[in-house]
Amino acid sequence: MAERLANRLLEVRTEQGLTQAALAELVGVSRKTVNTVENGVFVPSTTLALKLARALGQPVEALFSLVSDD
Amino acid sequence: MTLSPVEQADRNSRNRGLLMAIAATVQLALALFSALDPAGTTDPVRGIVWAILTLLWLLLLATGGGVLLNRQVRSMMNDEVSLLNRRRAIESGFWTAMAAAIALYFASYSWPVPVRGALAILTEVAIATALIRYAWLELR
Repeated sequence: MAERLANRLLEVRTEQGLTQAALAELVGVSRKTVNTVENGVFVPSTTLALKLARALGQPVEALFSLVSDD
Repeated sequence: MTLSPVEQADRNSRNRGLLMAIAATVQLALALFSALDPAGTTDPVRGIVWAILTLLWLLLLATGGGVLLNRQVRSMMNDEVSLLNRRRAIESGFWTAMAAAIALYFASYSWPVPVRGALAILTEVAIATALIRYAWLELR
């Protein structure tokens, strides 16, 4: 059973009225990193996932989840 | 208008990608010259210039550059995605070096390849591959 990481980063970020650049600055990464995480191209490290969750004021499980491709 | 750290990091990352692409072109040209004129690698001045350029590109690949920038911008430029891109680029350079070494090994049975010339070709194509891959990953 193949699993992949899904995220609600785009949804939560836009709910809070943040641009990718603004979120990137809060977390201390490039805007490109935020973009690639949102698009599922890049799987963030635990540290980055936690920083994103903290910046958005959400538990990390509310932002990231495992979904089955089946 | 003053750019924010994120905007500076974005701009500098893009410039770094373009620099990598230009550097790769220079390296490929050097590799071509080395292949066409292996005897030219005995020129000490050319050797010194080659060594300086090679070390510069290797330093860029190893560090990501931006040593003169402020810490926050440099940290954003060298974040997780960029580090992964750099790692992938260096892997590509390694495999190209192996392929070039094997090709030169068998080529030497048919054409005498001076040691210095062979090492120059091998190094140049490997570094060029790494730079091209890094540029591609950073600019896409």
